[in-house]
Amino acid sequence: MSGPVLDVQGLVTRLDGSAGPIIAVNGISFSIGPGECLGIVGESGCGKTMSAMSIAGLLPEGGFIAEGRIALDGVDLASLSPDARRKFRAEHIGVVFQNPATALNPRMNIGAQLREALPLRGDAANRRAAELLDMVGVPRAWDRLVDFPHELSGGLAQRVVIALALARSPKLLIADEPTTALDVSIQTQILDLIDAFRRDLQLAVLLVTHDIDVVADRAQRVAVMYAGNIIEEGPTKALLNDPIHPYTAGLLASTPNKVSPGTVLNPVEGAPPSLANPPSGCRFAPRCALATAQCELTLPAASIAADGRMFRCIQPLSKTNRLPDPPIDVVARLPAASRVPLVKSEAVSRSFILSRHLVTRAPLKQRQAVAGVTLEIFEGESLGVVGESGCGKSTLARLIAGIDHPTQGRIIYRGQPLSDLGSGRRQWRRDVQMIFQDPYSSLDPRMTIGEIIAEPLSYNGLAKAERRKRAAALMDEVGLSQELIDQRPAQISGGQRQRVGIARALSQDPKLIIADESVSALDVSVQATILNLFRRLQRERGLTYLFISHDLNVVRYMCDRVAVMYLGKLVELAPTDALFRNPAHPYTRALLASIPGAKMMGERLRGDLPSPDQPPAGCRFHTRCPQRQVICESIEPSLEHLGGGISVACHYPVSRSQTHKKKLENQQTSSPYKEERNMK
Amino acid sequence: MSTSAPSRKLRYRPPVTLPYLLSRSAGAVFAIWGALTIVFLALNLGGDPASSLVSPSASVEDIERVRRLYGYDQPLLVQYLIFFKNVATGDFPNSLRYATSPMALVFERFPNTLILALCGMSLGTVLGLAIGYASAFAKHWMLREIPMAVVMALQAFPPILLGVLLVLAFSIKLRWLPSAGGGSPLHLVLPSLTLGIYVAPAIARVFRTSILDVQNADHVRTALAKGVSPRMVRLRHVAANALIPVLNQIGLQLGAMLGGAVVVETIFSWPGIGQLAVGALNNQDFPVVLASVSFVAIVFVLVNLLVDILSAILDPRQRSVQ
Repeated sequence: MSGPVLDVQGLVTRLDGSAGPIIAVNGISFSIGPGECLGIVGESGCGKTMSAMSIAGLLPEGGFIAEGRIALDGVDLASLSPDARRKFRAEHIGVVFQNPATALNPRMNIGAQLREALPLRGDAANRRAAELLDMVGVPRAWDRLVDFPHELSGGLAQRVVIALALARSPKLLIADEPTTALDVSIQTQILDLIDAFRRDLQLAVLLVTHDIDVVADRAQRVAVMYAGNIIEEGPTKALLNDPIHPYTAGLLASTPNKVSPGTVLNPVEGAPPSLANPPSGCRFAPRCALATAQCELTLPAASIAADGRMFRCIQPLSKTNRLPDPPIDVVARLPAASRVPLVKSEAVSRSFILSRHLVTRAPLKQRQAVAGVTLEIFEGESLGVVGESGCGKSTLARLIAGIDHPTQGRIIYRGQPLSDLGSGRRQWRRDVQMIFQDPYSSLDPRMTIGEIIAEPLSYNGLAKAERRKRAAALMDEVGLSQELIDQRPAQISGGQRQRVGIARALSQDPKLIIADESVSALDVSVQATILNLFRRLQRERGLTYLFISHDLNVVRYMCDRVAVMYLGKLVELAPTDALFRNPAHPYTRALLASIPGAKMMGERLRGDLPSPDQPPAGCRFHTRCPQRQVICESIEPSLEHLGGGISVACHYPVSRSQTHKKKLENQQTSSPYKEERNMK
Repeated sequence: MSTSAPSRKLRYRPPVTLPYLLSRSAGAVFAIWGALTIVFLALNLGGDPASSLVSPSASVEDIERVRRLYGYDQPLLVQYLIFFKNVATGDFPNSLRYATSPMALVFERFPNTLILALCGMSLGTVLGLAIGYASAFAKHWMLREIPMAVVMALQAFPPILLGVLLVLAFSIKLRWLPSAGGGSPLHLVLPSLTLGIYVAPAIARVFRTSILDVQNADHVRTALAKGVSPRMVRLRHVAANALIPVLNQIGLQLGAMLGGAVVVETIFSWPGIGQLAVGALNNQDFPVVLASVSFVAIVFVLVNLLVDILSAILDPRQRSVQ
């Protein structure tokens, strides 16, 4: 095997849409060798997916390759007839897509979809299909052939998509945001799988992702894309540790995991330019802190650094040419949180009735989304709630916000149960505000920005002119230009929309802000500016935050304490430092080990989350726990305080289990671990 | 190598599950009960049926005799139960006009309606699907645009006008086809054509919209990436998936037609069930009205049950909804 599997030279992709022609990819070059993984990173709208789809021949309607050469396994694709080219691509390229839930045909069973990709027919095709499923780790593969996509979990569906991609033994695997739609535990499993095939089958892998942490773990080389160009490309380690291009450095400074906790994020302000009308010079110049007049004249040519890295910049970073530090007011430390509880949930549960008996109407199937959670939120602190999807974190947030009511237990606000608040209820409604995940659907598209922000104020009985003035002041506070006051949500960017949501929440002068995945839908640089805003507001207004997020890096960066939930239960609660340095619950430990870019070693999460409708008996985590004992299968551990503000619900929390483990190892000669697990 | 021992046969999964069948059937029974109740109430709340059954000059005794004969002297609840018994046994009181069992009349007419509906519907479906498919996929713009435009224009024609125009052209001017009546396959042509042209546009439009929807679905891209030929992608991954909403449209239309395409049957004097019901209404032949309307309601519900089952076969996601 010699030469690269994929060699791309000067690729230009054009999209002729209704909005006129767009150069989506503007002359990119790179190559990938066998067994190598190249990561493409960048913000959304920078042409990452378009590059990948140009190579795979899956461009959307109106898209075509205008210039450049794509050589696959030494064969120039342009030299083939369209039909031969299609077959050649199908033979040599496997593609894994972003959303496994929609990537499979809902009408056909998995076996039929796999057979389509195979050159075999009949029984042989079925046997090969089952082999492929087995290879990607789908249990009971033969039985699964007749299952339909909607019967699979996201993780399993993505495994099936990978099996499809590998069906023709391709040389190149293109993975376009393969794990963005998946939980962190599943993400790790899928990326491990792709990694294993890369090594074992000597696959060349093109990994497109917005997540720098994923690339850091998985790719040997990284290409950073900005506005249709690759602006820096080189070995992963060198590029991430010592970026040359200011944009690369800006992306890294926006990533919570890449800065040590306590320091501040230093994101690139603004957004990538529209590709319909890009700046004439260096496309990053308008956002670049180091840009000079020279930068705005011509697009910088590709240069080669001393270590062989490619970059396009005439102001490369060096010891003397560095990005400016973030403004000082962002850096200032927050005051320590108090120990006065603002809100307390007392053994709160929330069950949803899924189906009822036809005649008696008695509940037949229930889902306990939150199961007896006791949790205090102290004034002035940021409390993070983490866990896989389906663990009940959003339901808990809604209960605390008073949007939903517990089926058992109660919420206590400033020492008073909500039910006893009486006339204090109005004040409480104002004091607790919520910011939602999706900045696109949580704002009324027909209202102007000013109206959206001022709407809650009308309940305070303010006159219209006064409301507008207050809205403008709030926009100032959250860093929105006042010129936007008469615009509508569709006219502003995602980051701006999230600021609108924040301003609306602030209009009530709240004490507690509940942020439910409020930054998950945003690009890293935008996410970082919003996180910085959250911090500034906390310092200036003395806010308390309840931060719901599946992104542990964000929580680590933002929060003083972290609560970990699993299947409706609170399994661990600890100060952030302690939790990340020394997790006590095996679930926390496995969750942390699953984070991309994690330094934490240890066993990662295996398998899928059990159905929340029928949680396992005993400790709910025992089915996935690497350290489970017989007792865990029958007796549910209660939340115990270990001191140092750490509480954990586990029979064998890790700090104690170290000694326990030794004991266990001594026993193992007589009763092997495996047998013990199979007892019951 | 494979842990799943290659057993000879794949696990068999029925295209429709028993719970699904049962729940849909239960729904159908409920719908039939509701429809029959409405039929019963509509006929009984409109005043004393007995006095409208006899001639205006009939004596009080005559009216009373008719009332007893048809059971109108019983309490409403008893009449309601008798009505259901009649439906279940098909044993309605004799027709006033033909002096035979109304069900015999219904069964005599229904095959005509069935043939017409099936011919009209098949024609309309083939036409609609072809036009919808062409409008989404044809290479030449004329094929994409023109048939769709023609069919849309035709949709604006009420069937009564369309029927008359067809009669003018093919029977009176060209003298190719009979203008009215039943009996020979030739008689079937014009009414079927009218019905077909009437339903084709709706089917074409639903199919087209559905195709355009499915075309943008992620799984189509997956199929292309697998190396499935573009033609197979269009047929198996786009068109077949796009049929699901069309099927519901077809079911509704077919149900309505089996209820007797009254207008078309009247224009062409087609001896179908719609004509029977309208005639009976005009003659105040209540037993026949009751029998035919009850029968039509049941057929309508059954057709929709069939469509539900078919769409569950076509769309596996629907099966797991109970």
